[in-house]
Amino acid sequence: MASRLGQSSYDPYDLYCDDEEYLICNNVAKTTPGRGNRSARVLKAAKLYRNSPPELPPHWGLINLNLNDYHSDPMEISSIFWLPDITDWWGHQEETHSKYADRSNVARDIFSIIHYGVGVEASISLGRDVFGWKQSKTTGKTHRETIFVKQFARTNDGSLAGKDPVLDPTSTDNNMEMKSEVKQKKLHRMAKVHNFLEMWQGSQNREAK
Amino acid sequence: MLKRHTVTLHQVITVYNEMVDHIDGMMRALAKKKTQWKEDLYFAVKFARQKLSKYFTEVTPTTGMLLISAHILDPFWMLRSFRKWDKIIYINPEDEISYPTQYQQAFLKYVDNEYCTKH
Repeated sequence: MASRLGQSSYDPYDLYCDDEEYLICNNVAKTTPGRGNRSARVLKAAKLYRNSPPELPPHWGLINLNLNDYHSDPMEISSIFWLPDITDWWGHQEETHSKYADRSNVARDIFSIIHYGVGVEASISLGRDVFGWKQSKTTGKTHRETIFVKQFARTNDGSLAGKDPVLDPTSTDNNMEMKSEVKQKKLHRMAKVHNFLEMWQGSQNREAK
Repeated sequence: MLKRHTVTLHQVITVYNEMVDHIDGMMRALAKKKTQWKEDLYFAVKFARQKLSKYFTEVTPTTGMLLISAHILDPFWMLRSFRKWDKIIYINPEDEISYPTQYQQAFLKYVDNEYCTKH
């Protein structure tokens, strides 16, 4: 089954959804016959978890997609990206030995994976070429800069100087600029000599008087 | 997402959804515009959506089970996002072909295969 794309049109602003179905927790926790206690308990927790309502619904009412504002940061548009840390939630479940405690090891295993290392993200993400699986503490800024430098060098035959026309010494315009700079320096030096000669001549005249 | 020093895997599907919704909104807003730069922008956005579709359709129980599992394990969203997709195409959420049902089954099968059978 494919994901949602390629289907009919819909209202993208319909961010409210009916959660009544979720509020009916029918706890279909039937153990699998013939399994050990632990296996049955893990599967039971999984079934129980997926039949339970979501925790603390996010503040959907605050979402305001302003399509006329092309300069706004998309990450600031929605509040869904600032949900509480789910690792805390799962840690709490484990500590309190709640009904989902057996599911926390699944959560721990899956959430320890970096997002750019999974599925299609791994194929499109440039970050995977730069950082390993375990370097999750790298900041976004460092990541961005490293990728930029790498990509820049890659597209310019390994040269970080790249194809910047300003730095190209064979360019006629650059040559003219360099020549004018040399001329200015020469003039400056000549002016100094000229001034020195004037001063020397002045002192000679004073001595002659 | 790298700015947050915490897990982000569960947000991949959410971000995809947000991007698709945003692009669709942009396309609707720009569809009837006649200014040249707006027409250019419309076609650019259209191609961006095609590219995004190409990647998003790869998120299936076969090829993107980790992303789906991570999203289901997010206690604040669970199957809510998938349920929205059914509303779009008018499928009963309890139906067997509905996204939540298929993803639920895929998730339980994944847990069964990866954890229960190994212990």
